[in-house]
Amino acid sequence: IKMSEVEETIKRIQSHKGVIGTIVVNSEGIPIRTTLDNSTTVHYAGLIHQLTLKSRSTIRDIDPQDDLTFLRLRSKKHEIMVAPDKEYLLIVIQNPTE
Amino acid sequence: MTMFSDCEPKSTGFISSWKTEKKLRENASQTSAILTYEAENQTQRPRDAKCQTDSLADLMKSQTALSDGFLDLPSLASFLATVEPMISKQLKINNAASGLYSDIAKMRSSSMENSITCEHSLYDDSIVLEKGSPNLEATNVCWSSSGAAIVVAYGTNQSMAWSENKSCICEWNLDRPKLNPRQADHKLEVESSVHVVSCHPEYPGYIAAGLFSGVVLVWNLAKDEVIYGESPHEDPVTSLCWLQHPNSKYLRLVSASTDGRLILWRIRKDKESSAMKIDKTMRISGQYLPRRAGVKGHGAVGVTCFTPLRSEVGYARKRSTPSASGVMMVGCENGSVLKCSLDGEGSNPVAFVYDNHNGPVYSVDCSPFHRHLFLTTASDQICRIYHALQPAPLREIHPTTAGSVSRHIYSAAWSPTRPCLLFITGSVLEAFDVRTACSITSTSQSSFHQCEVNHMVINPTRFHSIATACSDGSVHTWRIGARLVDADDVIKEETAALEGVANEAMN
Repeated sequence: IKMSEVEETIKRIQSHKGVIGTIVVNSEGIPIRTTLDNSTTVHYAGLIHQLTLKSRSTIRDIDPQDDLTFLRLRSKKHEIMVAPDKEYLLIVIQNPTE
Repeated sequence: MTMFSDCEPKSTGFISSWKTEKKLRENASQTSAILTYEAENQTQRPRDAKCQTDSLADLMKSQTALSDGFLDLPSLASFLATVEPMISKQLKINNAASGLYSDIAKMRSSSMENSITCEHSLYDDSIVLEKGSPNLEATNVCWSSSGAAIVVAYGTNQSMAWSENKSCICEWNLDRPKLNPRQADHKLEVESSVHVVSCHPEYPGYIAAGLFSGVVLVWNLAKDEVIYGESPHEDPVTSLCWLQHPNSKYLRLVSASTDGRLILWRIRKDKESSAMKIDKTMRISGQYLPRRAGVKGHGAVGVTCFTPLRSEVGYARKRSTPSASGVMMVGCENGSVLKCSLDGEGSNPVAFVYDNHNGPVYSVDCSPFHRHLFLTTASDQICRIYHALQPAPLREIHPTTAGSVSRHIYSAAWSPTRPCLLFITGSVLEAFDVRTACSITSTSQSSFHQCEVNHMVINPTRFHSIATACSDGSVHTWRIGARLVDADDVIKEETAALEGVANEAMN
């Protein structure tokens, strides 16, 4: 029952305009749910996970009371959104001009 | 007087106490006869075994499966529930405000739209340190089929006499995260100055090279073996080109030399180190040229450059394949510009003769947008645009700008994306517009440190990238501004303008 709830949320996110892919990554950087093909998923998951760790430690170093809640990366082609948590990481890749 | 009378002493002999007389005895020896046995061996059951490391996909799958077992689904669901509103909100904002960022991107690109900036400067240290020999020049460059790697030929254009100086071919992969511009990724030492290199447009491992000694060789990078041509040219090789072989088992290479010969080679694709065989040899001789070419007698006319006619024209050339047509535009040592056909019988390739340049032709390039237009540069410092069906040139571009001393234009090429744009190199890299024959932009005078550019090539897949080879041994790659590459807004206009230029030939 819980399984479908997870899948349904991902489907809802995926249904937004311009969304290219959605990936859920665990705290070790291993992808556990994805809507992309395997090699792309592994590529994104590894890199974004590293970046999120770095970003979080930056925020914490500036103010130890603070924490990272959301990360947006705007590139020429895409926008990558990252919602971090203690255990999981949600990565959404969007092409807003589509 | 009796004091010195001759006397003859008597000889005496004695028997040695230790030396004995030598005696000979006969003896014989014979090794035993070699015994041979015959034996046969046959395995009864053949057995095959294969081994394959896990692909990334399998690895991923197993990891996902593994983590699924330990997966705390309720916590995952609650995590997604908390982040979903945030993500959804942002996705909507992004879609609503998509224009905002594109303006910023456009502004940034327009600020450097026409610029040509240096990206990499490559200079292999081992080239310079070679024992007292004259400094090696970078004579030729070539991009790999993927556009990621660059192959550089080193040699010298100075020595006219026979030289024994060793030289080399270097390869850099520019996509490497840790690019070392002072040391090549791969290096092949060869016995003589390298004049030309050419990467196969389809199979990235094959790099053809032509040497000053006339030798044509193919370096198979994947196996790191070198395949030599069965017999060399009599003079330096000046130009190389890969073509499509009618038999798909073979690769076809064409080499040209100042001995006037064009040789078609054939290379077996997957066979180990077999020599390149000659399919056909053609020779451009003075008797085939009309009197206006200014050649007397039957002597050979040296080829300095050639390029195959493009089999298809237009913007959407996605995958690069070797040209299938056997028709070439050829530039010669005496300034002749010829159309040659390699398909015909007999050894005369000449099909059409254009108006002469004064002095050796250095480069020739066919327009990617019009099947009849091609350009040539020569030592008379003029860049000409010809129509393939008419002997007289349509346009002449004089790239000599004010203040510059003698400038040889060793290389010129059409832009692969904009129909009316040319790139010409002398002591600077310049972009020209065909319609006005005026320079649009150029690199600064000091960018090459006062040395000449021997060769220039545009990246076959990444059109914003150009590589130049300099006479001081350095190789530069340049990033061309977006305005010179992106053609979406001007392509129609420029295609029409180019058509107009071509139609001048018909009137």
